[in-house]
This record gives sequence, C-alpha cells and structure tokens, in this order.
Amino acid sequence: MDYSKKYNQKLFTILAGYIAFAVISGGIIGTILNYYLNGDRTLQITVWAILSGLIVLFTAYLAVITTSKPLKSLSDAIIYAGHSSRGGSAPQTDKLNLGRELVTSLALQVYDMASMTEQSRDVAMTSNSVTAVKADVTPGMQVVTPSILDHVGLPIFGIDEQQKITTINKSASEYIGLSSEQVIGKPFYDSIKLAFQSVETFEVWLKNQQENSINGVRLWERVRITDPNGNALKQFDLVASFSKQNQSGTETMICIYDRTEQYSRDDQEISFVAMAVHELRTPLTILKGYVEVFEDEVGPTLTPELTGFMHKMQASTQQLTAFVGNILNVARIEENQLVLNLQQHNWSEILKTAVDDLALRAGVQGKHIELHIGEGIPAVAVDRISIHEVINNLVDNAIKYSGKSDKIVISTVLNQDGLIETSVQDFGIGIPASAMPDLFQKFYRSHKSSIQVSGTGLGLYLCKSVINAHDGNIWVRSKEGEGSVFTFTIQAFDKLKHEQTGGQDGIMRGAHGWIKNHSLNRQ
Amino acid sequence: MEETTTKTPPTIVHPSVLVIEDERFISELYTRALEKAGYIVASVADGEEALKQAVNNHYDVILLDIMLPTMNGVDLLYKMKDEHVQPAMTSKIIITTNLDQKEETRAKIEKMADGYLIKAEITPKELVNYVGQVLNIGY
Repeated sequence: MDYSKKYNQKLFTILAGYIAFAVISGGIIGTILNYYLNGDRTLQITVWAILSGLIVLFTAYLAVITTSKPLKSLSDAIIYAGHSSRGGSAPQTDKLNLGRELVTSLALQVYDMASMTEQSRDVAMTSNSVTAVKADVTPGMQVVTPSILDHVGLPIFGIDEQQKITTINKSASEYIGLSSEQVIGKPFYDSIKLAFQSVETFEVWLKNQQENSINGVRLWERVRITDPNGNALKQFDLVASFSKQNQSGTETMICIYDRTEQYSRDDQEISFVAMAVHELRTPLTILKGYVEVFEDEVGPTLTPELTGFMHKMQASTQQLTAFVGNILNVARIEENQLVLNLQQHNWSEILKTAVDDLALRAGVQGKHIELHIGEGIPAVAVDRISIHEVINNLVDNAIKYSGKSDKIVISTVLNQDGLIETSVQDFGIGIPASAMPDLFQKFYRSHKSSIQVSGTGLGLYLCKSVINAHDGNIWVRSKEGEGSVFTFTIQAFDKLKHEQTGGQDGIMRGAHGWIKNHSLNRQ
Repeated sequence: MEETTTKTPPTIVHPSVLVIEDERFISELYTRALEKAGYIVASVADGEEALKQAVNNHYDVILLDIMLPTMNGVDLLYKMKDEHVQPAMTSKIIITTNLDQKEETRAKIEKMADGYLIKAEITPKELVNYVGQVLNIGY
C-alpha cells in the first residue's frame, strides 16, 4: 500500500475542503451584511475583506494542525523508543484521521524495535548464566551478545575500562568455578589469577592498549591459572581483543582455549634424544672428572708416554662431548628449537680461544694448528657458543681427514664485500668431486671417507645451519690428495646491529636446517 | 634453625656447599674438588632428603641436579626459592645437570637459580671456579 500517495490525496481533499469552506462562508456572511447595511459599498467591502482574512487565517491554522499532527505522533514514537523518556505511554495513533496508515505503520515499527530490545534486555537481566551490566549502558548493543556467547564452547569474559567483569559466559563460569553473580562487576584480576610466561602480560598489554590504541588483538600461549603455591591448575592459550570505549561498555573480550592436558604433558615429556644425551653425558662427566684428578695429582710424576696417554683420554672425552653437542643441536634444528643470540664479539679472540681448546685434540693426533689473522677485522655478530661449535667441527674434520700431513691452517680476512671470511684448511686426503654437492646434507658421508675414518655426517649440516642463521655462507674447495679448504663468512656487528631490539638482548635468530631464516625468533 | 638470624656474612671463611647429586661418582668428584678448595661439603642423593637438609641447615651454595629420585630438581628449586618458606633460604643455588632442557624451561630455571651448568661440559676444577664466582670470592 502506497501510504504516502494516500496521504497526499487526503491532504489535498482536506485543504480543498477548508478553502471551499472559507470562500463559501465568506460569501454568505458578506451577503448577509450587505443586506443589513443596505448599499453602503465601502463598508460592505471592508467588512467582507476583514472577515475573509480571519477565515483564511483560521483555515490555515487548521491545515497546519492537521498536517503536523501525524509528524508529532511519529516523533513521539521515536522519543518513546529512545531511552530518554522510558516509561511514558505510547501516543494514540488511532485518533489520527490524516495519514494514519503511513504514520501508524512507521510508529508501530518504532515501537516494535523498541520492545524487541526491551525484551532481550530483560532476557539478559534474568538469565542465570549470563548477566549484562546493569549500569546505564545503551540497550540493544550489549544485550544480544551474552546469550549468543553461551553457545560458544570456549570460556569468554568481557571486561570494561576499569577491568571489571561485565560479561561471562557459561563455559567461562564453569571453567573458573564461579557463578556469574559472583564475578560480574568484580575486578577481573581479583577473580582470575593469571600467570604469563612473557614479559608483556595481559595487564601490561591492556594498559598499553588503553593508552595508545583504538583496537588490538593479542594471543598468549601457555598462560596459567595458579594456586597460591604457584602450581598450575590450568594451562591455556588466551586471546584478548580490545576495542576502546566500546559503546557496549565491554572494552575487552577475553577468550580462553584450554590446553591443560597437552601443556602438562609437554612439560613432563623428555624426548628420546634428550634422554639419550643425558645417558651419554653422565659417564662423560665422570670420565672427564677423574682424568682431571689424575692429571693434577699424578701428572707431574708421569713419563712422557703416560702423559701422552692421559692427553689422549682427555682429547677423547672432549671429542665425545663435542659429538653429544652435535646430536643435541641437530635435534634442536629439527624441532626449530635452536635459537641463536648474536652479540658483538672480537673475532680474533674467539678464534684464539677455539684454537687453544682444540690444541690438545690436534696434538694427540700429531697435528698442530696455525692461526693467521688478517688486518682490520671488525667486531663480529656471532652466537659465541654456536660459532665455537662450527670451528670445532671444521677443525675436527680437518684433523680426521688430514691424513699424513700434520698442519691445519685457520685464517681469517675481511673480504671485499665487507664480510669476515674464515677458512680451515687441511692438506690431507681431500674430497672426491662426486661427493661435493651433498656434503652439507645431514648424515651425508662420502663412500670413500666412510671406510677410512669414522663420523656421523652431522657436523657439516650443523655448520651450515648455524652459519646461515648468522647471515653467512659456507663452502668448500677440495682436491683429492691435496686437501680441503672449508670457508665461511659472518657479518660485521655494525651491519646487523640495527636488528638488535631493545638494549642488550642481542640479535635473536633461529637455525632451521637449509632454510635461511631472517625472521626474529623471539621468545 | 640456629641459622635463622644470620644472613650470609660478607666474607666467608669456609663456605659450605650441599651437593645434591644421585650419581655417586659425580658426587664424589665434586665433593673431593670442593673440599680441596676449602669448602665444607655435604652431599645427598635424593630429592626429599635434600629438601630436609636444605631447610634444616644453612648452606652458602647448593649444587642441584635435576634428575633425582623422590623429588626432581625443578620442584626442589621451586620449593627452595618459594617466598612462603620461612625462614627464607639465602643459599645460592647452582643447577648442575646433564639434561637438555627445552629452551623455555631452561630460561625459566636459569632465572630462578643463581647458576646453571652442564656437568659434561665442565671439569671439577671448573666447577670450583664457578662456585667461587657465584659466591663472589676471588679466584
């Protein structure tokens, strides 16, 4: 039904009626006056004009009343629906005779909408599991959400600007073992004692958001609810979504994804590798310890031959320690667990320390290590422990494969690209060309070399991973019968220092096998 | 209990060490090396016994293994560093383990303890030096 067309028609009819009434009644009164005043035309015209003017004004007044009445009725309806005059009675639309259908239908729609929000508000207020904040909150927005949240199987909390709980769904109150009545309006931090692993806890983040952001979402893994003794009762991932001064009064929504079972299993689980390494390290510790006792207490009295034996024992325990280290590191790389912390170091000092540590191992095999340090080597960005392991592995290889020659040369220069280039050279059996492409792969051993010397093929794989995580490269030049040169590059600290975030943290890197990883692997 | 009022004195003439270690040979080695360096050493091989010892006596340094019978070293560490335990323990705790911890776990343990050592990577003499460093007495 086209209400507005009907409204126009009716308005036209009414106005036409009023005008006709004005003209006809003006004419009749004029004629009567003319009859009584008997021919004085001036007076007759004056009276006629005054009366006509009054009647037109009255007609206009009636027209205005008639047309504005439905508009007023509509505006009453809107004001009624709005919260400002809550409790007033609905205007009587059935008493309108003009535009009734149009206005009534609009007004009814407004009332319907108003009563719908009213109903859902009542639902929210009376529901057992869900309570909306009772304070002066705009109705209609907040309200619909809690009952929906009950259908979500995940615990959800809503908190306001003052971190007071405004909303809690069924799962959430079951999860924390408190009913909604017990927590609504209470400070969130008092109701739920959270423990975070990261420095940026929920509280810190929220404060920061409130000061600096309009919207924000953050995920925390391994969040805990703890008992007063600090034992974890529950473990979960937590997502918080912040929306500044949200009209609903709920500023931050918090959703919990329970992982108690999995995380406590993870915490207890010791991997096979970790277990094997533990078992290897125990006798190693003992061996190392007693060898030291012997060296200290009977060393000075031993013959050179026996001293040599002692050194061989020491060197072997060192080698075994290094090997165990390799196993662990490879396992860490596989699990993306090897995190390097690159810091500023003096490269020649690192090399000197490494050579000192390796001297015994080289010595018992009848080798000696020469160290050549080039001019103008800048401070480098390295993870000291990992880079030490790289040098260890390369020198161990050089010792293993240097055959009858007794010299191993370590040299370092600053190359044309501004990279620090370090090589470990032996003059031994060399590597057959066919083996070169696969050399840095895990567990790769050349067919030939595996017969002559033992090894696991972990070392070079580890070296490559570690060097890559340093933004460097590693390569080899070799000729069978003449020896091999393994060369790797690392970066000057100045080139990477812009990656250093916040004070003395160093530059965090993950080592991931073949894939060069530039992303910061922050804890 | 008589230790309750005495804080760690500024200079320790003969610092005391409790070695918590279930591997007898390692315990023996560490005890020997520490005693030679002038420390007074006690040793214990299981977790619960260790807690009793640590609570009832004062030690300047506690060497704490992680894989232990009856109560593991991490739980022990939590208990010993717990602020609610009265009197509060002032001992320096050094973790000595051969267990490879996950990065996260290790970082957490390291934060709570005063030192962290992989036993297989050090000799007894190096351990003695480390203990000296933790106690801040020259070497």
